[in-house]
Amino acid sequence: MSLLEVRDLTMQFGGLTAVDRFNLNLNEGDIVGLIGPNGAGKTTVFNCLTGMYAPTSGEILLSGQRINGLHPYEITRLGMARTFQNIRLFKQLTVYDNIRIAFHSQSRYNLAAAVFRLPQYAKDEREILEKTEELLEIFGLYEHRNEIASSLPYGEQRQLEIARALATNPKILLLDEPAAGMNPQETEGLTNLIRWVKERFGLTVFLIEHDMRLVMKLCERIVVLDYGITIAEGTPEEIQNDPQVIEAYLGEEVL
Amino acid sequence: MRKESILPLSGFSLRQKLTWLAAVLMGLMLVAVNVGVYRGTVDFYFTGVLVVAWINVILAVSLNLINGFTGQFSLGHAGFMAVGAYVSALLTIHLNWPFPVVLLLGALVAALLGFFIGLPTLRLRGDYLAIATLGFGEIVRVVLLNLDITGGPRGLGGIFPKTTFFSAEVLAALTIIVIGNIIRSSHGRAFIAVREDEIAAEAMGIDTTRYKVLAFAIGAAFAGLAGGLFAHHQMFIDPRSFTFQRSIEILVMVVLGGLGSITGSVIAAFVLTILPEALRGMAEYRMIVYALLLIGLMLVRPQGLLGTKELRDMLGIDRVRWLKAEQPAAGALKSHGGDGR
Repeated sequence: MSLLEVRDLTMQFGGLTAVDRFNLNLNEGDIVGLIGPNGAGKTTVFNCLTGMYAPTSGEILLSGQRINGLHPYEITRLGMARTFQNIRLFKQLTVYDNIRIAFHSQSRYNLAAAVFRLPQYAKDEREILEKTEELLEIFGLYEHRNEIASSLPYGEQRQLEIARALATNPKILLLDEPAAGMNPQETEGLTNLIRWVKERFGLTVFLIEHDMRLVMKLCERIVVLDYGITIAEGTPEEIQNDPQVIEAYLGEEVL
Repeated sequence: MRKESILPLSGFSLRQKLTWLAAVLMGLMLVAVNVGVYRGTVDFYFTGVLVVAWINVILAVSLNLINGFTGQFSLGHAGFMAVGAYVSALLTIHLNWPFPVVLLLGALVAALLGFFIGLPTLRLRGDYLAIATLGFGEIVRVVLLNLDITGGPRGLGGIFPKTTFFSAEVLAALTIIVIGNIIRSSHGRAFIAVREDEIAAEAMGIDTTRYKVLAFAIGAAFAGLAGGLFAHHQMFIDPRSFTFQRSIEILVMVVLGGLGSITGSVIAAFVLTILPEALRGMAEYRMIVYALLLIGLMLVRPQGLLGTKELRDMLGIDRVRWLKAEQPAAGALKSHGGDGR
């Protein structure tokens, strides 16, 4: 059974079909890329998968459980975390708090335990503190822990966002244009980071990216979307030589 | 091993030392006031002002949970206060139930109302939510004005004066501790996450609707409690005590103290309760001076007196804890750190 199975996912906004019968199979340990020209519907796919939109039709199965119609927070708790195209950190909070918030669903104590400072509170909070520090170390953000998130350099904000997503303890990590706005060196570093994080946390990764070097280097499989329709799927080599993909990106005349 | 004294003042900046000094002075003042009230050397009038100040502390801190920490703009706090005031006053007048019980019931009814108001209105954001909560406050007032049991516009008189300086003080302290403890927990961080970015909060596994409703229910409960104290202090309540104006007054305290700072709310509640009394000498000019002071302060410090800072941050209490937590781990960090990237 695949970890994530998407069957004929369709998303319509009024008369516009943003995503048309999208299919996907993610097996454990996969690293799959979703590419396509601007406005192809890539982020819409992400938003459907993570519950930000309720799909018009189709089915999304996470570990065999149907998840369409669930709230985003429920889907996150079931093990699918994401980052955003235009970084969505808690900008005014510290690096440390950004991560701590993401451990929310892993704390088991209730309001009364918080109010009366019961043992469960201390236990969970200590655990959250330890895990937070561990994550910050792994991502090399420990020195910045008391800085306000928005004051970090762009690349580190991206890293913090990935670290924050990992704090929710996901099985699947969805990355929406992780390399956007990065220079080649930063992209290189990010490529290694994603690969390393995937191994370290035993993740399955599904990512949207415009940077072809990153996609081709990182992904085992690539899905190409154009006007909401899946026009190709295959290994990086197959995709690079697919006439339909070239046409979608560069126009017909090139061929 | 380095020994740390109880007050490691050597590690503090000048600013922190001054804050310590101010905190100690305020603490001493508080002790002096308590002793004075206990001995009866503080006059009846000023004791009354202090009771109102404590009630305002409860109102401001609880509204701060909704407006400051959770970022939901509520203008209906006087409505919740009214519910607590009337419920507890009626229970006292008709059934003569014990004071703590009627206060608790007033708070519970207000919380329930907060919960039910929260459910439908929290789909609204920003200005729209503000208008909806404003409408709620007005509905409460108009209902109170037209019911028989509430005495309509004549109000409710003959409520036993059960609120004392000490009961108000203890309950205000309780409010600060309870809401403070909630804020410094995973639940509190969820409230703050909702304020900072609702979409990101959802994506981090936080049930944002639940926390918005929860903020309203808890905030309403404490507003109801404050209402109960208010009724048993004034001995007379009528719908005019709970107008839109009242909600605004509480809101001003929260904004002035700093949205997201409990310490700020407490200080602002005290200052804004005592200031108009202190300005009484200026007769008809006093509200103008009061307004000018508010405008001036907002110009100088738009984020409020304390922004989102708390006394404990400014005293460096958490920083000390950080250091203590770090010391044993410091060596270990270096040895296996930096293998990331």
